[in-house]
Amino acid sequence: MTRLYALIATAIFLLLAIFLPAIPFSVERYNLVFMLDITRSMNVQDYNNADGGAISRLDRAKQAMLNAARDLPCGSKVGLGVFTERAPALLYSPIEVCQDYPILQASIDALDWRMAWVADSNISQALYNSRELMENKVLEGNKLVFFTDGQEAPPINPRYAPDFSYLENHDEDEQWQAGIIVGIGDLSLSKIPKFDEDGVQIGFYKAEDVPHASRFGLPSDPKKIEGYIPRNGPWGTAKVTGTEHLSSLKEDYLIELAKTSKMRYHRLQDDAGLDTALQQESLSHISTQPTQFNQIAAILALLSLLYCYHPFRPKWPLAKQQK
Amino acid sequence: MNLAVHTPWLLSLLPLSLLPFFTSLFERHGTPRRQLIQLDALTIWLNRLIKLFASLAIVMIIVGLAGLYHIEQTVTRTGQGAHIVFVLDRSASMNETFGGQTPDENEQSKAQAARRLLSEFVNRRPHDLFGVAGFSTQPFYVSPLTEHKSAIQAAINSLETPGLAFTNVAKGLGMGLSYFKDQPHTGSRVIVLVSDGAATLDHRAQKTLREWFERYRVSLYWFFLRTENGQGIFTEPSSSRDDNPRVMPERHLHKFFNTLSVPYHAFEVDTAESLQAAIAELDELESLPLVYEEKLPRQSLSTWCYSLALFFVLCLVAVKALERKP
Repeated sequence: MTRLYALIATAIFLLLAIFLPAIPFSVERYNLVFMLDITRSMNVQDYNNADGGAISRLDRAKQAMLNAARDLPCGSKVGLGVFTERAPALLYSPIEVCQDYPILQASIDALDWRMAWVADSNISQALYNSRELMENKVLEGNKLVFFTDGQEAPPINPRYAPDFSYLENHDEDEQWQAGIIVGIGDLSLSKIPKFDEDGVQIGFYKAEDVPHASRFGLPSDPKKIEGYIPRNGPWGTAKVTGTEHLSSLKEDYLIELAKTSKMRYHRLQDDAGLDTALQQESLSHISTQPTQFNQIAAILALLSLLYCYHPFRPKWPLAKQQK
Repeated sequence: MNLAVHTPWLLSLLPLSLLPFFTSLFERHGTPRRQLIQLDALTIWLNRLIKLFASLAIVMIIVGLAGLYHIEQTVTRTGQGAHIVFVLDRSASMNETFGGQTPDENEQSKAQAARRLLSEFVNRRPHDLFGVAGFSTQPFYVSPLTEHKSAIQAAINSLETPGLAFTNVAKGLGMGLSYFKDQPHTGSRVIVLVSDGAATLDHRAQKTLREWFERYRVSLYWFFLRTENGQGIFTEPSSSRDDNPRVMPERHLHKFFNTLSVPYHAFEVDTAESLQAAIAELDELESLPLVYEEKLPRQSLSTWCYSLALFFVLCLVAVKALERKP
């Protein structure tokens, strides 16, 4: 008789497998906006590709972005933007990573330092403006992933650093994070390639090509400046030379920036590392997704049907025979 | 038949369907003499049929679990539509209203008005492919020609965010034209230039643009979002001295576009309503027959498999219920 019940159960499970509607189920999803630094220091070639050839920070960042987007669970969304000088430019608001992957791929491939509309590189202001951009209504609820090497060109005057407390603070929630800064580049200094108008490399930046210290505004502490003249030489009269024509990942600076702007910091090394850095609870949001459980019903149906035919059944109904 | 399965390894369970041929669904009963049971052909066939049904039920559940589906197909159809590339001005002035002011609660900026109307336009045209390019001082590639409406809307959304630097029309158009490079020529091709300013084109840019428009056979629509009291496309110069590209870039860009060998339409737009009218006209003009490929999404056949299995199982239930009770 048990087999009759098993068959009836099979029929019921099959009915479920056919007619069970999708049940809303909460899942973790990521809505991210990738903001990429396209200033010139990103052309420094201090990463290696799989064959050991040198590739630029920009190319490495593009690879990493595409990979990170591909590894996000379906239903997550990724938007894309670039920044140079102080201003971020949003290319598109987040799109779904599985269905719209071909578009993500085409547009990330097309990212180029030559999209830059101005040449300066003011990371802290760009970060501030990106954070502000994230409050725009088309980007509501998204997290910022800010890819940069942290190279300020020209050097900034810390006195005029942006004040992140002006932004929407989410003070009520200690755990809240605006996103993550991804540090691109090597910690040792490298030469920055120089290009002509047509994008042909014409050598590297030399020490005399770039300013080595901030000349903007007023110094915060004039006493420290050699040859300070209040009107005619607020930044001193001495010639300053430094290593600003070379570039490295300014990790300490970015960690500091991350702290003041309620973000985390991750240094880009391998793609798997970036995946784990991105797929964290603080960047995810819970969304309900209709989930199909029909498969499970079908598996139960299969099991109960197989029960009726399992080969280890005694040939004769023993208990009844003994009666 | 274009059938495929989602998780093929599950098909390795298929040998389980042989089980019914080794065991019986029914209880064995001892009987004193073999002659008491008549083995006629009907009984033998019924028994085989019952085993076959059970076997098929198992097969159907396994195939359903493995996720049988009808693979997606592309069907070539002819409809009305076009390949449209939006070349969007992302210069800072786009964030002002048509009156040239910072928008307040009641007023829309030029970019916002353009975003809303373009987004409606995209929704109205199911068969078109759309691409988006942006430009300010430099052009930037936004999204390729695609039929993914969600991605196109996302790209148009970018108009909602603050603009950048200046207006470099030539580079923006060049970027927009480059989208047609590897695209089969199946219907009308359109570039919709949405800008609120113009710029002088040097000789090199003029020559390249002229060549590319000719090569790719792309018709051009210019939605010029004119700021109140600003210069327009059709503004006549007050004196011949002012009639040069430096003073009146809009007029001269318009003149240049008119010399192109492709169809060109200019719309001077100074309110959100006139922008809507211009877009409606574009909608009407660009409805030439277009050969397009429609993708029929893959269709899961699991439900059909389960239904068949259910039919077989119900037969078994009936047979089993009719079994002689001891």
